[in-house]
Amino acid sequence: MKNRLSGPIAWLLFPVTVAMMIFILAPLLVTVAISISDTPYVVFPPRGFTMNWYAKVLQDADFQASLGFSSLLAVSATLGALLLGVPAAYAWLRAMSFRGAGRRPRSCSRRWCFQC
Amino acid sequence: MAAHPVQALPAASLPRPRARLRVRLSASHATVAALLLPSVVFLAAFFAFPALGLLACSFLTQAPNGTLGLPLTLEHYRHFFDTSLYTHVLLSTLRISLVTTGVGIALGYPIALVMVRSNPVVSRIITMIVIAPLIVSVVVRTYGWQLILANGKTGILNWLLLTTGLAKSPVALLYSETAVVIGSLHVFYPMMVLPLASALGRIDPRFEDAARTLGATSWRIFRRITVPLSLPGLAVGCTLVFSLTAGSFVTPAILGGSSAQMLGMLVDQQILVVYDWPFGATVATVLVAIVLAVNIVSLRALSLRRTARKT
Repeated sequence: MKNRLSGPIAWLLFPVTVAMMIFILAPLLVTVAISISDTPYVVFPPRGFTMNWYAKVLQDADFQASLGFSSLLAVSATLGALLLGVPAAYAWLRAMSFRGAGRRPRSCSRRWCFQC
Repeated sequence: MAAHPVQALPAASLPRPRARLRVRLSASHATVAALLLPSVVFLAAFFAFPALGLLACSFLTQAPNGTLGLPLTLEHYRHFFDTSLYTHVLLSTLRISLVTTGVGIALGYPIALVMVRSNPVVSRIITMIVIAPLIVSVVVRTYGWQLILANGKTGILNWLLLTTGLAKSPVALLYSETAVVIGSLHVFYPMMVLPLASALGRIDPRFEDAARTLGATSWRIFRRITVPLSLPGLAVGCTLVFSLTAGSFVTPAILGGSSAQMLGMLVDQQILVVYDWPFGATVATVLVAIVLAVNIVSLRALSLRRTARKT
């Protein structure tokens, strides 16, 4: 198969890939693991299992207020970006059609092509 | 690879979709301007105006009572470059950004290659894992690294090293430039891998096949075909990783502490703690100028190399 990885390169890529996946996921998994640990201080490997921390956080007034504000912020930022961005993207495409429609070789369909 | 025979058709019988497309896409300049106006106004008011304000601020003098005013002065810039503490922070910012970008390139290529070339299931899983951290806040990810890298026996990495017997005593990684590089690499890794993968995906596999039939080794193919053809993606990745790392604030603040300071922290400190707006603005201006300069120089070098190769 021409598009597949094979031979010594593949054997080299495999451990690197596995290592990088661990690298990417480690801090996320560690945070989750510590959050269900049954100790009031950080200890690894986590001891026991508890969902108490989650119950505590969900009942916390500060957390509830922050969660509300974060959600409001996320929704309004998305709406704002849509309102500004959709017309701009549309205009950008049209502005590109004004100029240079014939400058690029036919064979290259990419607008931001470094090669041509 | 089965070649599709191309038959010559009489020109008149060919459909002409391009002409129709052209008609549909053409619009008056007024429409385009009207559609762009909200974004332009927004960026002018909330980006250009404050940025220029900060730039102007760096040339002003702050009176003892805190008000900013004339005379215009270059004193703050002189102060910045004359103080070894600040040039030290500047150099450390550059070093951390360059090392992060370099390690990002070295670790980005393998994953981007696997993403593009391996079987669809594996490549989809890897793509998801690479993108996954993007939906988790930088603060959370950085605190995750703090848990892992913590000095002493409480650190998870140290626990791992001691348990497996790889190290006799705990290593001190947290609050060092290495920790900041690790954290930054984790935060900005997708910015390197995704453009690289998209550039690698556009390479016609026949080029590599042709080189292989001519007897080139895998390494030579990678060096002479894969890398040159993926340079556009590499340029985007390097620009993103370098600029974002140089300007980052959260990662060095949590993982670097006081021993691996970066310019972003210096700006924060000068403006929010010392209340020295002109000097904070100076540091910010130096940061932006250096990031711009490095990007322009490296992109220029890249395009020169490309044109040199073509002729």
